[in-house]
Amino acid sequence: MSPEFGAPTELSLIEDVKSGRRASFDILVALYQHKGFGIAYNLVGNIEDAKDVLQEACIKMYLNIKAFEGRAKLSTWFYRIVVNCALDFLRMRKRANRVWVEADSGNGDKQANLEVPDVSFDPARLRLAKEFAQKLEEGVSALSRMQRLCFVLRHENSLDIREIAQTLKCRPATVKVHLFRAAENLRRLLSRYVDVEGG
Amino acid sequence: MLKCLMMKRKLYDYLDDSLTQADKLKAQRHLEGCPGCRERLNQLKAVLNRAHSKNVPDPGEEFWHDFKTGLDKKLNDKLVSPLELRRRPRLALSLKPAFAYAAVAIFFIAVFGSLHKSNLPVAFRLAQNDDELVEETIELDELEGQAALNHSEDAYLEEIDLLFEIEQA
Repeated sequence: MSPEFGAPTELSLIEDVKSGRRASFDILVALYQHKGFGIAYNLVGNIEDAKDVLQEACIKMYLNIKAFEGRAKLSTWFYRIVVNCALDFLRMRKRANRVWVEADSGNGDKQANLEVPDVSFDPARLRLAKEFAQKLEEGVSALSRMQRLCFVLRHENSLDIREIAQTLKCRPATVKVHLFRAAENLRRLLSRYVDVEGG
Repeated sequence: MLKCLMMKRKLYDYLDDSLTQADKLKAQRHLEGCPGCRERLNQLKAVLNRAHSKNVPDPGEEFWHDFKTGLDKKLNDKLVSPLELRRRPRLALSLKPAFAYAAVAIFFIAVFGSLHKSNLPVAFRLAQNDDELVEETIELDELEGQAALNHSEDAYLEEIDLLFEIEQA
């Protein structure tokens, strides 16, 4: 590691990885793997696929780190790789699903994977809450690519507007427009459940 | 006071707390007097809250151990495979000049052959007997002679035409 004393800086770790030091790469992965996992999970929807996507992103980071010039933060650059890997994965899965979707429909596994907070023991409310969560999932999936990415990164992964803009290589104003449109589309789609739930 | 259409555009920013203080006050005043926008705000708030409350599950220690093991294996595979791939281009590169030379040679033979075939058909043919060869050669000479004559005649006629045209002019 480059600095002789104290904890290594991100910059020194990057330089180490550029010169082929795997131990420094492991430290960088450990720094960003949790947030990267969150992004991958929210985009692909299950743990195993999120693991594959995150591994792919880490490999790409290692193989392409020499091209990293340090204009943005490494975390932002890494999240961009995660997003791109997740989109590639979704594209492949979409292609595969064209064949298998009929066989899988109606088994209810998708509902079982959804995390719904326990709002009450009232079965009717619980059912509605589940339905709301499911509709939200479906609604987010049905958004346009940019709306979905902006919404997931902002509201499910808590990235700020500037980070999202850097991750998606666009202007912050563009991110805000996509966020507004995504929120408005989802509000329109889910207004029925919100009214019943009482906001 | 803000109109509802303007308010609709600002609701998201209002919830995101990214309005200026003045705009925020205007929005609050509008919301107090407009039940429609208040309802819209509540709906939007519920959607965003639900999205925020969607927890990413903690996959646990075992998951991260598997993740690290899998990552190391995949990365090692990626780092090894380029070396294997490098050997193939070497073989291909060593064969490439041979293929190139062969292709060039075939091309020149074909071109050379076709040129000579058109000009000297007799030279490339195995003579069945000498008489045939002599006859063919004589025929070719005669044809070439006729062609030369025709050419000169054509040129002569063209010259005459030109002279007539000049005279008429």
